Amino acid sequence: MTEPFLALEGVRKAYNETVAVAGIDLAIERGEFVVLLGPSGSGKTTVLSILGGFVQPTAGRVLLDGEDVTYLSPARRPTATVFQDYALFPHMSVLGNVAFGLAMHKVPQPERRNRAEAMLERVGLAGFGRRRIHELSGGQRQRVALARAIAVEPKLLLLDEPLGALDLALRRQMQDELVGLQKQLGTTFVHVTHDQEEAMSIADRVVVMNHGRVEDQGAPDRVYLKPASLFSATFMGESNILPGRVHRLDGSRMIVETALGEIAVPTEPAPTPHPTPPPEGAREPQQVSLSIRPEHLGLGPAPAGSIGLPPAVVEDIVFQGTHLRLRARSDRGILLLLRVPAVTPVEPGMRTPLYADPKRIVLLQS
Amino acid sequence: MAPITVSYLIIGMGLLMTFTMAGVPKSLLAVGIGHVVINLPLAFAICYAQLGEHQVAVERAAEDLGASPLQSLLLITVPMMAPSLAAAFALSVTLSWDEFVIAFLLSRFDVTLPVVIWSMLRSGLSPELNAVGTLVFAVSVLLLLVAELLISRRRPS
Repeated sequence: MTEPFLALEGVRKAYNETVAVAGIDLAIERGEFVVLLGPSGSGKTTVLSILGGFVQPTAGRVLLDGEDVTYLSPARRPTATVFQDYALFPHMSVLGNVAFGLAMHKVPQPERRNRAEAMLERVGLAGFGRRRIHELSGGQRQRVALARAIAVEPKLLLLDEPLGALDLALRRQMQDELVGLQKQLGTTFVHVTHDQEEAMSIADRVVVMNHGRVEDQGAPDRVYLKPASLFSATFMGESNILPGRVHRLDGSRMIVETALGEIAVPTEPAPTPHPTPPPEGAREPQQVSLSIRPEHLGLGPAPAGSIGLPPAVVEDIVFQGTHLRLRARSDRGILLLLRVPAVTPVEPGMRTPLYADPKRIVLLQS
Repeated sequence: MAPITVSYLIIGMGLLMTFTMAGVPKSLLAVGIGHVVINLPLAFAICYAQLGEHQVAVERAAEDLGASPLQSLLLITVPMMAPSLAAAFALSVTLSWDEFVIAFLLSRFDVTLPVVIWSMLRSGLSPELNAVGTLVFAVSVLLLLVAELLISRRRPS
């Protein structure tokens, strides 16, 4: 096992009594696009600041490319940051902004100018070099901030919610461009966001954070389909969480007793490390939670391979273009969230049986 | 910010006593120190308004791109704060220019203009007084014109 490109070892940061980061171990490979995802106050921005050198951890080490950079100043570490509010230099031209880092790295003049112009071209701002910052739109400023950061050819690019201030269409476009740029440059990107859709569309690996801890990490589809924790299941997209107790083992299936009746969940080995508890049905009934994504529930009688759930009454329906998002109250009093195709014939007040795909039900430790 | 809340007469008396005890003679230098005391809070307030979150973020970005603290100060902070620094300077000069009480208490042979005018006034209105007034007015108008020209040239419509 070779040493990872970037390693955080037991990194902890406390401000007096408040713990921002509660001991994190993270290994990131060269060329990876990692997204730190979490709600505000989850410590994701603090981790980024520690990587950038703006914050020093209370404990732990940061190793970058085999070098301990924990206490290295931002000026001397091979990282560059795209800041949330861009932090562009308002008194300089666009080209001046992009060339600033190169000037600080003592790149001589003709080359400095050429490289800065090449960077502007790369982010789609060719010919904007002489403009002033206040003449640019939000999206253009974002690109300048990006060009300025990649101009110094960092080993590690840190992005602190860089797309937060952009409108949805522009954000989508910039997400695609970021991914394209990252593949082109081959630079390791660490991107912080609280937007789970953004995380899923750009990340090679998502690191879900909550209360200063890593809740889950892995490929976006794995984290979405097989979340490792209750928090991960609810933060990374919506989910129906059913508390229950492990009733018994039936061959390769685990029978879980929930408010919706007994549900059989296959216990086949998960493709990735997954804390599915070893069934100990013989002893104390184990408290677990079942997570079912809204799109994995269906209306109507259960087709083959699915499990039927008690009927429910549809309470409200929201048309969302590609699908309908509806809430249905089960006869057992449980409110369920469903996402069904937009053409489904359904109306409020309708009573209908429900079914779920057992392979898509995730068993989580409570 | 404390000096801004105390009357100039009290500051002047206080400085006079302090300087006498410390053995600093009455001079233009003493007046200069007195004027720093009264103008510092105002200059500070003007510059402080510029030093918000944004300034912190921008200096952080400069450091991130490899700038030393000195480079960051000279290439980023000073140019960004230039308007505030200029405003603080202009205001301080104006306030010092016509300040009388402290200048009167702390000066002896080299005196500031308001003190000269005051001593001239004691012997009644004289032509010199009118001449000084005219000169001050002319210089003010000239400075104003120069400032207007500079500002309008900076922002071509």
